[in-house]
Amino acid sequence: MKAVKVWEFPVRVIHWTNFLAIVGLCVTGAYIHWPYLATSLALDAWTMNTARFVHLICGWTLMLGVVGRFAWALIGNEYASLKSFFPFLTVKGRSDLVGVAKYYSFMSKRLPPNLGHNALAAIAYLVMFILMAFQVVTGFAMWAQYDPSGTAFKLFGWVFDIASNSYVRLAHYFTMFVFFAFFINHIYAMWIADIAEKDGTAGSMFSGYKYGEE
Amino acid sequence: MTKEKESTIATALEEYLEGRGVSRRSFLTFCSSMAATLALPASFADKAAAAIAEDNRPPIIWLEFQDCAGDTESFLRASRPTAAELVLDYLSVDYHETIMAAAGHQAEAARQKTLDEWAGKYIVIVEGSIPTAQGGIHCTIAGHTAMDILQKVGGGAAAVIAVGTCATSGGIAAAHPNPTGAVGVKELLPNKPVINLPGCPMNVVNLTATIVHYLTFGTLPTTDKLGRPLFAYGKRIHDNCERRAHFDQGQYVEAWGDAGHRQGWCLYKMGCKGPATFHNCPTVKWNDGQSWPVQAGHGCVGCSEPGFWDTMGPFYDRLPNVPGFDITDATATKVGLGLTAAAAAGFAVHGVAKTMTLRSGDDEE
Repeated sequence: MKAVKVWEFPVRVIHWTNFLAIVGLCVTGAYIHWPYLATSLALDAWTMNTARFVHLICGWTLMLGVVGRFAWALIGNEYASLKSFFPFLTVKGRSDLVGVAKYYSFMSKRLPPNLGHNALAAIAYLVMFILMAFQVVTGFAMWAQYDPSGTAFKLFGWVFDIASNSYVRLAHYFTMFVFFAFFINHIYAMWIADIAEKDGTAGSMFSGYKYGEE
Repeated sequence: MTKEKESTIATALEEYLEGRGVSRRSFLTFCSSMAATLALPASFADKAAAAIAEDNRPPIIWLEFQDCAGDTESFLRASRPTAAELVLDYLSVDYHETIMAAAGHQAEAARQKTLDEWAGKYIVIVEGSIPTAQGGIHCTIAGHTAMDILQKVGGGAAAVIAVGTCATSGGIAAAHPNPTGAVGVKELLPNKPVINLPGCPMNVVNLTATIVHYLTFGTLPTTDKLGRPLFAYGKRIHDNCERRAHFDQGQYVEAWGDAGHRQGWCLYKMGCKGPATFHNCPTVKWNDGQSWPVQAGHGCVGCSEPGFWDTMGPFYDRLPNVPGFDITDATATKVGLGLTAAAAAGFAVHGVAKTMTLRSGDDEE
């Protein structure tokens, strides 16, 4: 096995900015949903204001991350490409999918050889990017409500034609838990690949290199 | 406006007010408050005064369908009493089932007379939802269904004003499962100019302001996509709320009557729907500007949002429950934490199994 450059620099940077943004969004978003900090009587506490400000900044960061990653999918290497997110569209991808499913259900001992995302992971990331885009759109739509005649509302206000205000809020909040579940899955799958398959997955999101046959 | 015309109007206005026992001062105060409600410059007050003094009043027909007469109550308790009543009296309400003296055939004849004599010029105000199931038989007046009456009366009107949440989006009658197939006015009169003044009930200040706007400019006020005038529904309750500073500071009422509640802190955690509701309650308030729900210590329930019975509940929770779960307290937090726990448990079990296979050496190459 040899070291192969899999994740290019922009992919790694966007991965970590997305991670930081999502952590910030979850911490502040949970507070915005249900203010859990002790009430401060200080005149300059501005606790909710600060939470909303940080949430907004992280929201912008995530938006740039999603847009940037999409752009990189068009110009980056094969492991970052748009088609790498749609394994179910190719014959090889579908057979890899079966292989990965067998591996995770202990029916086979090896993952199908693949340096990029394995087929199942690729689908998980596709869903994650759709959910991130969903959070960005619903989040900016709710934010834009402070001025229904403003530009932001013109861009995102259509959300409320699809679902009522309360249900947009519900969906935006609930999606956070899907992120939690994904996070557990993500760490676990990384651990398996790294410990059991020894392909260098864990380090690859820092170095860019994985071990395997090109 | 020329000096001469100005003085003519002033004289006519004085006579007009004098004859009705209203002081010029209280009338102009009313006009100024209308200007403020409509978010127009103070100079508008003079124009409104002039328009009201000129005798070009359109007759009004007030229709009630599936309603509780709550908007009529609101209408009869118009704030700025003498001056607003004057404007509303002045409008010549030719037909209003709750307040008219006539009854039966007389009343129907009076309405028909207005329809004939003022075709295309009168204003129709509709209160209550219109049932459409089974041909609309759930609400009939003088042998005609509400649907027919609305088509006939609304069809020939210059403009239709739907007052209250029932007339604008069906209201409580249209709440799930909507047995009568109740709908709002706009759905049955898609090609008419319909102004929606939702609210449970509508705030009479907004009705008066809409009418004053019509009298002054001859046009209806600018509306949003839902047909609601921007002057009244263009901003969120949350953004004009007097408790907003407590929201920003992170100071919330945790229980009814607690220290925060007594100090007027934010009602967000008590389920206030102000952040999701567009209405001018915080600025015009109710009962002659005396108070409004949030000032009185109760969260907004979002009564002016479309379909609020189904979409804005529960009144005392931040968010609705997750649909599709057959338990009463399926909050997003509970279902979400359940999902997270299930993921954690599932991968933990898988991890134990994986470790065992690794230990057994089966996986060695």
